Amino acid sequence: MNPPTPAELEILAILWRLGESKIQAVNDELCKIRPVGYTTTLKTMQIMEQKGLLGRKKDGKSHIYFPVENQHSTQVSLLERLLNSAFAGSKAALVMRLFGDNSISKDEVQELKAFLDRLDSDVTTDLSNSKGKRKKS
Amino acid sequence: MNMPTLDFNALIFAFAWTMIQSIWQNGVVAILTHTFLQVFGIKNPNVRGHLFCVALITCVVWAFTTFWGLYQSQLSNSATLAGGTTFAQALNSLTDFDHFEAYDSLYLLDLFWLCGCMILCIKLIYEMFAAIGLKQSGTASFNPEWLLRFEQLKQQIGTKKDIAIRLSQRVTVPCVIGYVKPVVLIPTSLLLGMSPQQIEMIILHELAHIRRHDVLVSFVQATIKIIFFFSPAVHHLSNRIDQEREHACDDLAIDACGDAFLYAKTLQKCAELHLSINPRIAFINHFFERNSMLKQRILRLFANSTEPYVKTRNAASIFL
Repeated sequence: MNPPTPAELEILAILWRLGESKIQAVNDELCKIRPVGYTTTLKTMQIMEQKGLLGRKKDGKSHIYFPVENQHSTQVSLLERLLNSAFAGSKAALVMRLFGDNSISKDEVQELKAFLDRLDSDVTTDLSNSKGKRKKS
Repeated sequence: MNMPTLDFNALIFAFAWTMIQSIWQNGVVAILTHTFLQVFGIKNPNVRGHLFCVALITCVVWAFTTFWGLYQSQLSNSATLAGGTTFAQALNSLTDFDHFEAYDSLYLLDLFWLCGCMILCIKLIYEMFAAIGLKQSGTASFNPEWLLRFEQLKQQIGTKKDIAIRLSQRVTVPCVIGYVKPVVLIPTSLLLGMSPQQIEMIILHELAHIRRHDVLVSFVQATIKIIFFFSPAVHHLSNRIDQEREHACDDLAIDACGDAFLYAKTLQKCAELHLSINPRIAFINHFFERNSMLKQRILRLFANSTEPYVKTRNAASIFL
């Protein structure tokens, strides 16, 4: 499967944020950055659905599109893998990235997500507990 | 005053031995630095970063003095020693195991260094051109509201440089490119995938890099890494500098925006988006590092602050 083109990436990003939505909603978001015609977005999303990047389901007369979880990890070529491991962690000159190297794995991201979610829920329980205590006294 | 002519053989001798000596010298500097940091319990990433920089400079200075000392001693000895070799001789010595000529080995060592340096220099120059290309093509400008907000964020961080901010279709991770006329690049996909508050935090982090002149420092680091490419301690020190630099910028960004938790979530979300787009197998990571730099950064934010964090949220709830 080919990695998404830049335009497709923008649409995927919108869907990741909004969740599944109709083409109109996606087009509205895109127009906030620069004017894009509805038919352009429509065509791109249809192509993405054929490529397998998006899924589609019927909602009355129209369709709702949703991003499909991509399973690229098994399809990365061996050469790409070698190149990545050779240059992994190579920090390019004159560039400061938000997180420098490619050394973060999918597992770690999931781990961090779980950690942060747990932290958030701990705080919410603490808050509700303290509120409960206040009510009693 | 007459400039003494460069004695080629003395040069080769001194250079090769400096290389060899520098390996243990750098190790000593690294160990001393770590001990110092441990003994004095220095936690502030700014201070730590500067100390590691000082350590790196010490390595360089020590190497220079070693070289100079060796060179001078060789000059004064050259009258008595027969030494000296040619390229052909040195190559022959590779296969000729019966006659070990010290000079041949040192010659080869220097050649090895020269080759390694040249390759790494070419790589560096290539990367620089690629970076400049990223700055110039495939970008679009932000809308006026964002540009105004950007100016406000610049003031918040405390930098007055002439900085441009652009959307880029060619990067997948937010970055800053360039030092004299820096450009902050935000991937288009990110802008659409995150809340404005989160994007502001990312911008604050990048602005923190600019304020600390990190691009320049990392360039100097890269040069030192090329010259000392054979020394593991130098690579280690350089990695530590990078780590402390990210920690310091995280702290600056959080100071400016005030919400450590949301910041951590932003970083994690960025990583998620980046991985979906550029799935890479963490080859090296499994073998060498348990925790990637990003994981360390996020965990550090909460390491000794689960209490204060709860307190801040409690305090905030009063206003809700």
